[in-house]
Amino acid sequence: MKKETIIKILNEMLATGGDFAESFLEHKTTKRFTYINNRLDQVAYNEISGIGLRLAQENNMYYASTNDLTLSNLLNLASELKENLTGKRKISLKKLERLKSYSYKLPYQYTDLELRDKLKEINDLIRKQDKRIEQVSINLSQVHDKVLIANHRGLYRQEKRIRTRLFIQVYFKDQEKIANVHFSKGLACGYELLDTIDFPKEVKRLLKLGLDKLYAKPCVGKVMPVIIGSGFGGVIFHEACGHAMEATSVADGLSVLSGKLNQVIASPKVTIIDDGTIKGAWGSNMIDDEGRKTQKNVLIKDGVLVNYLIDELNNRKMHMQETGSARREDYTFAPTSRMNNTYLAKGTDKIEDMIKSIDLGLYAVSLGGGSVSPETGDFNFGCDEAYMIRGGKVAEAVSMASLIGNTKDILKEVEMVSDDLALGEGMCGSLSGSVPVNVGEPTIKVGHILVGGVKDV
Amino acid sequence: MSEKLIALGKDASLDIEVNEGYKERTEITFLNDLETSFQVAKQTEYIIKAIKDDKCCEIYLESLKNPQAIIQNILDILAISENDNKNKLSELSLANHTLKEEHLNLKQIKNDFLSLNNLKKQYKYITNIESGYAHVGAKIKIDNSNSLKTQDYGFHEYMASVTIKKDDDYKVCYVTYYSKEYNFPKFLELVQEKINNLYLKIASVSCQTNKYKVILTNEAVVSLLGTFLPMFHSKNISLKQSLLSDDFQKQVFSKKLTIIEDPMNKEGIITKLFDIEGTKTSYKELVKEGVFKTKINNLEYALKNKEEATGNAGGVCNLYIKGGNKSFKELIATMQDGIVIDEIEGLHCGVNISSGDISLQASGYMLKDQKIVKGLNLIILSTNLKELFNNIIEIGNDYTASSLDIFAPSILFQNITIAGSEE
Repeated sequence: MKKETIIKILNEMLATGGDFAESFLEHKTTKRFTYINNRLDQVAYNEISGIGLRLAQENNMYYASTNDLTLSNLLNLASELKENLTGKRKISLKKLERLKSYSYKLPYQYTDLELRDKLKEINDLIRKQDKRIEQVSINLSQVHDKVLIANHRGLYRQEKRIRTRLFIQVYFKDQEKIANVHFSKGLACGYELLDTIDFPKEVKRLLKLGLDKLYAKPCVGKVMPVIIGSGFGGVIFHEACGHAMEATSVADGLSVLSGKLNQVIASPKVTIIDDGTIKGAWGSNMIDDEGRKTQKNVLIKDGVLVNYLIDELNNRKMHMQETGSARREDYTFAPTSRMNNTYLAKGTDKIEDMIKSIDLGLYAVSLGGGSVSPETGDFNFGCDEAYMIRGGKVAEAVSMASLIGNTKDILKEVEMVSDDLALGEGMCGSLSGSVPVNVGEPTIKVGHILVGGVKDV
Repeated sequence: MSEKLIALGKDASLDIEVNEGYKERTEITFLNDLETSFQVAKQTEYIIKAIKDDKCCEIYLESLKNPQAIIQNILDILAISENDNKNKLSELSLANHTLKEEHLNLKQIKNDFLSLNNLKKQYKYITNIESGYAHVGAKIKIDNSNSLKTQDYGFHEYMASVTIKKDDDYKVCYVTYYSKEYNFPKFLELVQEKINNLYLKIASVSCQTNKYKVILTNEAVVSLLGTFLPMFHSKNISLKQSLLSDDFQKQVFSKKLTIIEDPMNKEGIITKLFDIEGTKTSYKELVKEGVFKTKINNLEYALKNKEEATGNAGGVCNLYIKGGNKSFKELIATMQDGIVIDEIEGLHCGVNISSGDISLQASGYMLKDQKIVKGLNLIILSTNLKELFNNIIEIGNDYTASSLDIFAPSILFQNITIAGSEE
């Protein structure tokens, strides 16, 4: 789209007194290979191309999206937005700055045939491990996303983003017992992602985990101390406090952490960081979806809440600096403050000491997903891999353990933090859609948390 | 556009079908006494299905402007695909039109939703009311040169989340409602009902881990049923990824449970005459008196398994659990002592759809002699879907309109484990 066209549309939007106008043009392709039943079962291709127009006046926001990019349609939509306001023009856009471009340089790309062979190799490696493996499903997906952002201040920036993710699920069955386990890795890079994975090691881990889960016993349902493993275990902080620190809910007083700035909200062992700049990380971008450079944001420092995640429009309500955190799933969503790569900073405690300190508890080696209500702080997580701790030792594997709690309690219950910080990737759903994020933490010990199992014991 | 693509496909020995969808959505959101956003979305999308030499692929696009490139992309995909399941294009020409040309009275709608703020006078613990209204209109056209199908529908969507605070205790409830005609009074009634329930949960506590009689309210049942729907899919059954992989035509659930899909039911918010592959939909019993009777099939797996396609490519429409005779109050009277769960959270991580295991954050209230003795929060519904649906005491008749596609009444269960933090 030409610069002049963008300027024309933004100016049309501003004609009735709007004080903010923005366009977000996007072209995104997704290719997904599904290898299941010992064959390349499906290659899915998805291509979207459209524009999101955002107009604001003070704290009110008006948004339109379309994939009909004809000038007449865009001017009609701009009119539809401006008709919500009845004032006179306050500002107009003369020219856009020189285009600033950001992109990831691909070192090389596998061909589709090479990828099919690679997926077959992974499938065969897994299947030959054990006859109780009933099904293997491998998904490899790659997204190319080109965004072009312009606003009434003349900002004019584009970024070419690329993300690749491998997701393997292995299904085990032994008579009536069934279990499934997964491996996942995603990076902001091309198919060279596959070269960063030690497949023999990961397959061995999947086999052990699958067999442990297949014969796992019901988890004890009660309040107990819990050790949460490093990596994706950090989802507990993503859910327990990350969402509550997004300006989306903080600005309107809808978050359990609204008005708590500079207050002690967590154990002194807790320092939480959100960093959109980590090179190649799944949740990283060079610019956010308002065109600002992403940055490293310390949110909780030694237990004290020191910042929130802030976007342009919520800044108007909060009067705090934007943090490069505006994100959206695609052009059909208006952006708002979201997390990128959120993690708990590492500590100095030892995992062996954590286990020894517990008489009856749970070792949640890896967590599945979770969810939280930012208004109340109530959250829940599913455990993917969990073992009971009995008498200071790791004991039997347990199935379907859930961790349930409240933000303000759990943040204060972090008693020990180790030094094995790792990140794990996932998709995070919220107001502006589903976006790729990393969560992370070192192994931690939480003093008390309600654990729910499949049955009581 | 689609004619040109179909013609170019013929030249490359490709049978092509174009599913063109157009959707318009107008949405307004509110916070307390303020309108916070107005959003309009207008989108066209295309699902292209292509078949060549027993191989089939589907791609999703938002433009057909470059048909040559689209054909080449399809040929590249088919060249590496190893799936040689048979597939076919749709045959009959069909039409189903229910979308009305509606002039939305946005002024009236805004006034209605802003009036929700008046509930603060009635309920003094309310701190915030977030709400939203949307009107959705959709048109679908499936063209493959031998048949043409058209279908459209529209509906009104209402949302609210209400936060209450007493002392340092925050509670929130979410209300969703859909209707064919604009019906704010019904939505207001539902919001008030939810706030009344929320008040019961002020200063709520946990319970002891134990087995209880449990009523899952209609909304909780809809959430669970929606999450476990993939268990009926023929594909998941064939690939051994379903809880019901070995259970076709077997008694898997209580005889009290019958699950029906009736896509053309006029009482539904929307009706669908055909699915996204163009297969005509039909009335069917997925589960009849506890027996797994019908698998959900798309064309690929119907042909593979030599079964009938069931018109469910893209999902279900008007699926419901057959109701009993008792109202919600009568279910409570039958239960006497037990737990009512009216909210469950974490469905994307607290269930395993292959094994049926359920471990979900829940809230509700505890009853003794039919009377509420305490609100419950941060409790865990710990069971398995087969265990749950085999422990049905009674199914109610109180359907909800909180979902577009799935409907269910409240259900009373026995012997269900609820985990809690009370000693």
